[in-house]
Amino acid sequence: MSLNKNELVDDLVAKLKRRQLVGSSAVSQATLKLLVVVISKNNWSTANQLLTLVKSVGQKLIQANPTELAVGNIIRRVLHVIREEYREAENDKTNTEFHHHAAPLTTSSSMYNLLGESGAAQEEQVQFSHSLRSNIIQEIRDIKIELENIHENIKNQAPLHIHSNEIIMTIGRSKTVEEFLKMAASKRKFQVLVAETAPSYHGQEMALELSKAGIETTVIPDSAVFAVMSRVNKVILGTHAVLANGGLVAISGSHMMAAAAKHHSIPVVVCTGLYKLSPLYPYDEDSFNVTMNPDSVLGFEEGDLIEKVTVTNPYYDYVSPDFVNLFITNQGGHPPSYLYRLIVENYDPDDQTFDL
Amino acid sequence: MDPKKKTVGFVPEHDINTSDLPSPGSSNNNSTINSPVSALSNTPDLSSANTPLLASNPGSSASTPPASSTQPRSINKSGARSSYEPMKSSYEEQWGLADRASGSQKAHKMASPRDGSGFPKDQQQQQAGKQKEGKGKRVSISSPVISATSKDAKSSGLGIQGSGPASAEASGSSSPAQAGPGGKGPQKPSAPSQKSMTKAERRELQEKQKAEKAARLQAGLPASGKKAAQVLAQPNSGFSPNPTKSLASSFPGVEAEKAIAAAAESTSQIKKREKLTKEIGLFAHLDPPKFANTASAHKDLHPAVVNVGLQMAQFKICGANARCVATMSAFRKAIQDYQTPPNTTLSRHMQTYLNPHISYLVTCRPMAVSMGNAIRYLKYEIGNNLELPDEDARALYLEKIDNFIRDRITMADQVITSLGLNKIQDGDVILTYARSSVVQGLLLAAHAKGIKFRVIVVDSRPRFEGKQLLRALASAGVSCTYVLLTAIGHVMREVNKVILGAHSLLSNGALYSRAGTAVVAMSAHERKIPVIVLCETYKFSDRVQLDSFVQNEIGNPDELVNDQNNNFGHSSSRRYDSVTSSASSAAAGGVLSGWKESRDLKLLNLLYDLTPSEFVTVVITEVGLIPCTSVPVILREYLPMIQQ
Amino acid sequence: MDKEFDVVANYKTLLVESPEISMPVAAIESLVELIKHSKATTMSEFMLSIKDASQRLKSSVRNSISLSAGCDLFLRFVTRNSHDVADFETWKATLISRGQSFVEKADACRYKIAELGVPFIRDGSTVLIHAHSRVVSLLLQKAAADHKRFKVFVTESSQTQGGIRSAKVLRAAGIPTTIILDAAVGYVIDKVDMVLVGAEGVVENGGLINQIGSYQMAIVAKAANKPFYAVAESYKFVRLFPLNQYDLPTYNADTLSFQELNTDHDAKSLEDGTPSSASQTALHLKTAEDQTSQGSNPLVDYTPPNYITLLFTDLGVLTPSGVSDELIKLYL
Repeated sequence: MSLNKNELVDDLVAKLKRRQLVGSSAVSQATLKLLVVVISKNNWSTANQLLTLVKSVGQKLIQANPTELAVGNIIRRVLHVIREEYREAENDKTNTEFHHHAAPLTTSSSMYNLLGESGAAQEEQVQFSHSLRSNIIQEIRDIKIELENIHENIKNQAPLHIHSNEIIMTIGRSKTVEEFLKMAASKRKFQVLVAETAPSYHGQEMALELSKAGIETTVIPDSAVFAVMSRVNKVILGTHAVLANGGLVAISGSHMMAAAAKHHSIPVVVCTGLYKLSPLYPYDEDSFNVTMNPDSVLGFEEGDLIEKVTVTNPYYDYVSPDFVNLFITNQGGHPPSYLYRLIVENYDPDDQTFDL
Repeated sequence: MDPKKKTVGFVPEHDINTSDLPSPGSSNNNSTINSPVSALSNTPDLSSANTPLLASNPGSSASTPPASSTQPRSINKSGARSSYEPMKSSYEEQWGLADRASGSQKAHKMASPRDGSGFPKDQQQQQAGKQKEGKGKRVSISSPVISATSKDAKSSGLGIQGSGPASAEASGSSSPAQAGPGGKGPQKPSAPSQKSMTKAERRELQEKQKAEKAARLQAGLPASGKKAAQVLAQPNSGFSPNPTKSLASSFPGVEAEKAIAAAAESTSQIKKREKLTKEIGLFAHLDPPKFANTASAHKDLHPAVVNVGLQMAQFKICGANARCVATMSAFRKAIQDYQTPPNTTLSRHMQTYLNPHISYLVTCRPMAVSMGNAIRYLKYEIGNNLELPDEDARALYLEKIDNFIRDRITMADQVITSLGLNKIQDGDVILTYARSSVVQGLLLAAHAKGIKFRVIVVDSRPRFEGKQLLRALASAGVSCTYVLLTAIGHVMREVNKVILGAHSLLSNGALYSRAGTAVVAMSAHERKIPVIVLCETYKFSDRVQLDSFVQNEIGNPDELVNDQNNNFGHSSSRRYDSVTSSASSAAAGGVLSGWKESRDLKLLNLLYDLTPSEFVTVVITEVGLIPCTSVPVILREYLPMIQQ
Repeated sequence: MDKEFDVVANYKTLLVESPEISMPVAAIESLVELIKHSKATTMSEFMLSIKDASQRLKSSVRNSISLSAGCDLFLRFVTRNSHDVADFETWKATLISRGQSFVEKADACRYKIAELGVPFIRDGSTVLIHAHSRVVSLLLQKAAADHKRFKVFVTESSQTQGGIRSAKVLRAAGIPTTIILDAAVGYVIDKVDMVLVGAEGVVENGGLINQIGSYQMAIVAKAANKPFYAVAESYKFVRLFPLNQYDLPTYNADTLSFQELNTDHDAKSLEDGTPSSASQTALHLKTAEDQTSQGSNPLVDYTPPNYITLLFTDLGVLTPSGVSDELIKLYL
């Protein structure tokens, strides 16, 4: 039995390593599936054991692809769920110690606990019960459903933000933004300018999809972003990940678009599901970047050049939180300064690194 | 070649005017529009050079009001283009062809009495001349047309302009066998009958035919009358003539009545037409993309100039300095080979001789500021020395051209290089964008001097001009890095200087340069990295411009399609962060290869942009290092001196 | 009996005995001592005595922002727990034990912060710090111990000699350190990768109260687009909301006042421009340092939250907007 579970874990690890499974959404769903299996099929009796189990799986997965932040986010979400379930189960038992009444109100990170007892020891005592296990699994299934409905929730906010005769600018190809714009197009008439996003040319694909949906789309080369920005009403971006300070890890070219928008005082809106929100901070701008095959920048046809020059092809860009005005998530719209709250609600501070 | 179509040797000014210019372009525009008649490809068709300038003009009217030279130009016959507010974006106006106004009067007088002007008294020629003249007139008709229709068509804030020109004429009358766009000569079968008509009648007929053709194109029918009739004959063709409305009161004549009678074009039809024509509303005031062709070159242009024009249109010569030098050299040859016609002197006729060349160059690519300033200087010198005997004048002009190139370009570049060397130190990481000849010179000189620095070359689609610079630097042994513009946020952190070239510096201190320069300057400014611009003073312009829309150049949108031709066979790379990738991306044709058929998809290939002055730290010119806000000072103080 | 337990004296002794201790911790420790020695028998008497003691503490020290923070935190804790008290003596005992464990843990706070902050110091980077802050020094020492290579500029901060103290500590840890003039911050800012300062207090909107000069550095850092990080233990979060520099409790009217001319001698010699021999002694031209020690130059300033990139605290890395959340949770 345990062999099967390990196989599953290794299978996912291999997929991540070989980059066969990429994309926040796909990765999140795969991770969740795996965790459901791991939790339901393993034996554990205390919270600590369960947490350790999940953390060990998480460590393996993250090491397989460290820049795929969605994996870590899901693991942390699940850990948070586990801890919460335990706390609730614990609070159901009556408790006369006076400091406990504070526990449900405050998280373990509260200043209050400076002078209170640490709550870590309590997890040990609660025995697992079947209801606890099924509760946890249920919660995880809820997360899964939430993941599947991300686009639904986000795109329903579209008519609030896009109005008639607006000119929207975007870059790269994001399914979330695509759905968002298509939903808005069903109710409003507007134009979209898409930067073609060399060298991946995802922007071109995006433009094609949008035009198929009947939205008036114009493809511009990346060099024209600043030039046409003065006529744009809004910039809508997708992103690969959102960091804890509100910064984005988004496709290469997003930084220049956001900076140009800021210069012209144009609002920048980021459409993202909360599963992309990571509690990690960008220690520097390249912490979560990957570089891709330079062939698409300077191909082998230029053989004589290649040996003399260095070619760089970063896939992602870091966009500082000063450039972002609004996050549209499946839980509504938030300014970048509110993200810490979402992080506190969904993750635990102990889970920054999965030290066992 | 049809002997009837022998062109005049020296075409009077008024015949070569703006109206001619769109037509060759329009013939090529047709190929980008969903018109079945894309008989002409974009490639310069030398066979069509046999045909005169009027190639694509099936007819022209003559009896209509005199051309007013201030009319905005670039009306596309196909009706695809709209004109715009009476802003002088016409390059002819700016760069000294504005004496067309007086010219047209002059030309009228010239046309009849002087056979020395090269007008064979052949009636065919006259007719040809009239045709040209008529075409010119067409422009003036059109512009009031446009403003009227634009008022009506103003439904969307996107500035949908009214329909194009003279489609006012009722499209109802189908005229026989009208010449198609480009490639064919003007009137064929109808020509014989025209002999018997009076001048005025001929003009009317031509104008009518032209208008009908325009209307056909506007309705989406093939331009040729025969084919249009075929299409219409088919049931369910879905075509209905939709001429422009309310051209009405703006011009007198027969056409006006027809126009009034014509049905109004509804907004949706305008929109449909705009979509059909792939015109970008935001840039409707600019000229449509131009394509290399010799259709507008009649055989009396000096071949050197035609050559240069073609090379510019194909971007084989690009860059402000290169274009200017090439143009001036070509003019030099033209002046050298010039034979003064009888009854005039060289100095007095020179401008007239040069103007068609200039117009032709503009049809190939909109005039660069550098070229324009050089031409203006040349004309100034010509105008100053009207009393010189012929050979002296010729020698003077040649000398002036040589001096200009030597002083304002070559020597200026050397001074700039020496001044710029002071700003490059050991250990510098210099970032530059696309390819500027001055920047290349400076970097090579710095390397030759032994300064140890490395260069990051930023490049962008669709022209990839930076590769040339990269090649030059790498061959010289400079340590280089190459990235695309989207990676600018990533590489900028290592950079400690940015050096850029310029197409022009404007009087409000803004930098007008290759599209993408503004992005680079903005990213550098964000990190407090100094931005150095290298610009010779002859590129300074007294224009002021606030954003990149006021004046710009739109390039061939097909260059953006990411197919074999454009991208050396790279199809878009496999998506890194998604499992699915659209099937079309794997196609060798590129994702957007079907863009013309797609109703809602447009491509915009913008060639220049405007960098605000606050992003530029210093401008190095041959008169020293100046802040970019001092451009008008230089223009005021220095240029008169330099010009002597 | 020992109503004469002098909390202020105890506090001062603590500071002398353990130089590493920070002011709020010392304050809380003194208050705990007070509880031990307290002879109060009723709840209200007890609470009063604690309140009174903390008032005395606050007024005894000139620069008392962090001290206030510590006292307020302790008071809040006591008040909050005063509700379900079964047995007074047991409660007192609990308070004492809690207080003591807090003091022990306080040190651990600093280590926790250092751990959080170390990843932000990248190899090959240059850090600019301000005067002397124990937590900052600890953070940098830990980074050096983690084999990161970096350099440090420290402002001289001559009135407290803070820069020199910092330089000593850091150089001992093997970190290349250079002392710069306070006025040279703008000059060096383009050479540094980040700015790191400690805190006397963190106010409700996430702003920072720290030694004079911090605000200046924050402005320069923002103009140069460099990140500005502040390091603060969570017991320094204080329930203040200053509107501007002059809205702080440490502000008094004397600060930065203009001196009056004292004697006719002074006046006359100033008019002539020639110092007379008498006036050379009579002219008490106060230097900035003199002015500081006499209270007319400020010791701390307030940095608004929009200049601060991140705060490293033992509650985690916070954005300035996250600070108010914590404070609300505590004082709710």
